[in-house]
Amino acid sequence: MKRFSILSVMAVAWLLSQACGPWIRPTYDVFSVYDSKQLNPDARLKPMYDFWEKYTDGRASSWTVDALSSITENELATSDNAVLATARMRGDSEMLAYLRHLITYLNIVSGTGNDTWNYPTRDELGNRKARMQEIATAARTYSGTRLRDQYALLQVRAMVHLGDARGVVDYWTKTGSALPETVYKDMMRGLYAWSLLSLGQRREAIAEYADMGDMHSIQWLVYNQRFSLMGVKQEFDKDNNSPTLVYLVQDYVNNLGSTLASLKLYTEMGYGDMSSELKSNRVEAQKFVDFALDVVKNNKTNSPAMWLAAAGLLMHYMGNTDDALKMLDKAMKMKGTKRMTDNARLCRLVASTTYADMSKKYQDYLCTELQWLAAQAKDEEHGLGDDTNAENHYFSVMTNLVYENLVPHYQKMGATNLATSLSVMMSNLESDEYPGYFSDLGSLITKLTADQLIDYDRFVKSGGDNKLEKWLVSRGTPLDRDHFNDLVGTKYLREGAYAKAIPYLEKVPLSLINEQGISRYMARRSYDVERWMRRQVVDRDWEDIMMGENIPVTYNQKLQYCRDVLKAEEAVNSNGTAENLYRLATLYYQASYQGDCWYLTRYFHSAYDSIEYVGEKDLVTATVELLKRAKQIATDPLLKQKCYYAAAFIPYGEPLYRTEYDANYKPYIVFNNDGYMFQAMFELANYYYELRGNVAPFISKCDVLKLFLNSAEG
Amino acid sequence: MKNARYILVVLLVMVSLAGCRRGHEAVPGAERAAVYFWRTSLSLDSAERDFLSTYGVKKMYVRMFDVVLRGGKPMPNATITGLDTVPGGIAVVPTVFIMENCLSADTSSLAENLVSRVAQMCETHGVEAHELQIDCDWTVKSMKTFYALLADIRRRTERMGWTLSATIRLHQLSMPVPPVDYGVLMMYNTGDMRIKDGTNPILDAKHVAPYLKYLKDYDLPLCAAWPCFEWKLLYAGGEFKAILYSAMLDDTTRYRRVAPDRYVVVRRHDAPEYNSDLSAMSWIDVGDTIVVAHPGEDVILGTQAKVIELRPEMSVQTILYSLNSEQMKLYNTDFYEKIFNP
Repeated sequence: MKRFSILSVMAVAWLLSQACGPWIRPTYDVFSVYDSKQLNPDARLKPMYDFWEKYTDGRASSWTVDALSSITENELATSDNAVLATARMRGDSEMLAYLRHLITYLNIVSGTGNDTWNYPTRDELGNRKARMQEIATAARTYSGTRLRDQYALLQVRAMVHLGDARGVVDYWTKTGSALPETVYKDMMRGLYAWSLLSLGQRREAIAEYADMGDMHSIQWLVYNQRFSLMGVKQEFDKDNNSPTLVYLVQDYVNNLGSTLASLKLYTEMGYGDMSSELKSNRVEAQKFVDFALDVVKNNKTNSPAMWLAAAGLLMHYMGNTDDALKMLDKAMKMKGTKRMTDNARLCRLVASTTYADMSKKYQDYLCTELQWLAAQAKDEEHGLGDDTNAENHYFSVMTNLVYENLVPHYQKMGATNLATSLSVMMSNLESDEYPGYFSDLGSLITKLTADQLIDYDRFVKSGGDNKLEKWLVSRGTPLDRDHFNDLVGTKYLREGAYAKAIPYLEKVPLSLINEQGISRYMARRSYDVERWMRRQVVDRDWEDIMMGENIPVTYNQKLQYCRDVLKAEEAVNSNGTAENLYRLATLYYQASYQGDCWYLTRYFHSAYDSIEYVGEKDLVTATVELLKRAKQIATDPLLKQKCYYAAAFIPYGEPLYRTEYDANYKPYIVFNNDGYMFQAMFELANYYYELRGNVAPFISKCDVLKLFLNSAEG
Repeated sequence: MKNARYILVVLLVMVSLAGCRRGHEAVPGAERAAVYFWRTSLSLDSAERDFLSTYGVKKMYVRMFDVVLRGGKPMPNATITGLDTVPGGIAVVPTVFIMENCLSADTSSLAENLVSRVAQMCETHGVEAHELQIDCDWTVKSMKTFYALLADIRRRTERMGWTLSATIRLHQLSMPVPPVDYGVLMMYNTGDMRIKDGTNPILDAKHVAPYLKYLKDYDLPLCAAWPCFEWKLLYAGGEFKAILYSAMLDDTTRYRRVAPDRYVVVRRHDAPEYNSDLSAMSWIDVGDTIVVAHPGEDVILGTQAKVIELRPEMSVQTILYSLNSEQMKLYNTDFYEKIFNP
């Protein structure tokens, strides 16, 4: 599992934010009593691939085995496929005979498939049927023991192809079911279930699929029973221990849990009144809880762990976490598969976060459970293999648990270091397959103040105080010094603490800045330019982008900016002239999220930027205030015009106007008279009239002012 | 003077004759009632067989396979099975759907492959066919390639003595006519289901009207195919999510009806038809909306009347999309009588 340092994680997060905008993590289902490995056909077939790998001394990959279907019967003696070549090399005539039948079978199946241009003639179809019958006969009459299971599967496959569902059922009943448990028997059983279905024995087929854990088939076959208490009860009435109940109960609990949360949210957010549905769903949830408790109390099931965990989790979803925890504690110790008792443990952990606190007792518990959960996630990932998209249940729930429950909970309690280290631990658990999660840690660190980041650094260095902290710290990678200095220096700059920023920024090497995406803007823009007078365009076109990549920065502009702002602030404090005020306003505005030099205070930029954390200096408001003072005291005519113009330029508060439509859908403009922007434009217009239009071109050519004047005159 | 008047009268007659459009021919081999069959297995249930006999349906346009891009090459996909079970007395028109993106690949052997495969399928399963229909949503960008492909196909079908037809979507009426013997005007899927604007994406007069101006002068024998189906369209926050095929909207534990054609999901569940991986994104969530797109009988019959008014010969053959007992229940006997006998 790949690890990432905090800074590189943040860099990726920022990159993602720039490219795609925020990513919303789904809320994953908690209740899971069947193994999601069962959803992955590759994992089920693994023993078969392992067999061939072993037979060929490691030369046959799964790809080699799959490629057997593309070998023609004429190539049997010459093919360099590792499986065939090994059998030939060893003079393994028994295996070669089997491979000949297998390849003939695969050839026929792929040849009669739908996806080739050569459609078979009637004679060819007859011939294929005859060959398939030969394969079935050869498989049936195989008298050896070594390849008995393979031949058994081949026989059933041939029968399925010949449309002999009854034959398959008979074979399975008399012979196949008694064979030892192998991947071939597993595959054969799937064909048996399919044959049952095609013979109309639906219920029996469902039971087989359920017992095999074939979720995809079950999903279709019990669709009408799913998601309802009635469906669960119907199945229970037929067979208290029906394997199908595992799926029905799981679907029911997860869907009802999600429904209760969504209905509440839907109503709260004002989308519509769902209170009657919420009430009826709660009533139904309680009925399920009562039913499940009765099942457990009266020993009506072999899997009380599943039923009591289902009841407990629903109690938690209904808000009764005290009773839920008691039920889940019991469920963990009850009879059921390991997956079922693990599920109860996970449900208990999720419910427990309602009461997450700083007590030693809870944090010790949390530490043990998070370690267990991380191990479960790792185990499930290994089981799934590297090339699967199947969901890692434990990992998915863990992301929700950490990022949605624990981190906000501890942040709210002021335990920032604990929240941060939980995020770091989580990000270190993530692999390349889950890049979207990076944004959680990135976003969290972006919102930390400089002091909080320094404190976190101290916390990491201290190694933590208790069991949980020590474990979390051991999972996190300490901050690289250069990145740390850059990050803290930038945060102080962003917070307006320029003097504090300087010692950190002084330690940042230029090479680090040149590695960052912001360097190309830093190299081509100046904070001395008044933003309202000129926009400094970078990335106008592709050529521009390419050019920009090759321009390294020659000095740390952040550092110079801090020094210049300190001088400008000192000048304002000692001599608040209009010139000094205007100069400081220019510097502040350029470093704000609206300025061209946004890279001074942040690492990425978007149209949705704003003040992101408590403690960040509101440079736009500060600019507005400075300009307000400057325009009142300015005596130089040009500077005064600049002040009026700059004040009217800044988007601040309510927009200048909004567009509305009359009865004929004709648009018209309505000015927001009470907003700052209207007032600033109004003052600019008055000043324009005052000077009888004898103003600088940047005012006389301003189209927004023209619109304003025209509207006012109109 | 007399001569001059005579010449003027002759000229006026000539001018008025020139102004008259010649009538369009009816589609060759027309049958009053026809249907499309668009499933992957040709097994008709009793209701479908009854439908064919009740309304005297004599022709069935059967989708044989699709042509899709696989490995960068146009390849057959989803070939129909059960071709041996075509009811007696029904003429089969093999129909092949070509994905438009196939036209950007090498199509030099596509006509030969396609025609040979269709012919072989018919021969293998004893289907007697005299016509091939090609269905493709071609655009201006792909038109040239598609028409060249059709011309190639036509040379081959002519040698077999077969007719060649093509489906024509409304937007294609503004383009030159394809090189086929006749076209079937698709009077369904006229809108865009992704846009929730209150119009019916299956058939809506607002979508049809702008194209009717092309119909009268469209220089190809035409008939039309009309919808007899509905869609249950799932939207999440205005975004189109899926077509639901098995949603039982009368289940009040899952759906709340908020308007005659609109439901809100009140319990989360999934839909097996589009949920193949059980991923968190494929659920039907609380708050999602289901809009039932169901073209009314009056809309269909009214549009049919307008089309026939512009092209009277289009009344000679009517095709319904598609033969499916579940969907056909949505319309009553009177509707089918009227649409097959305009």
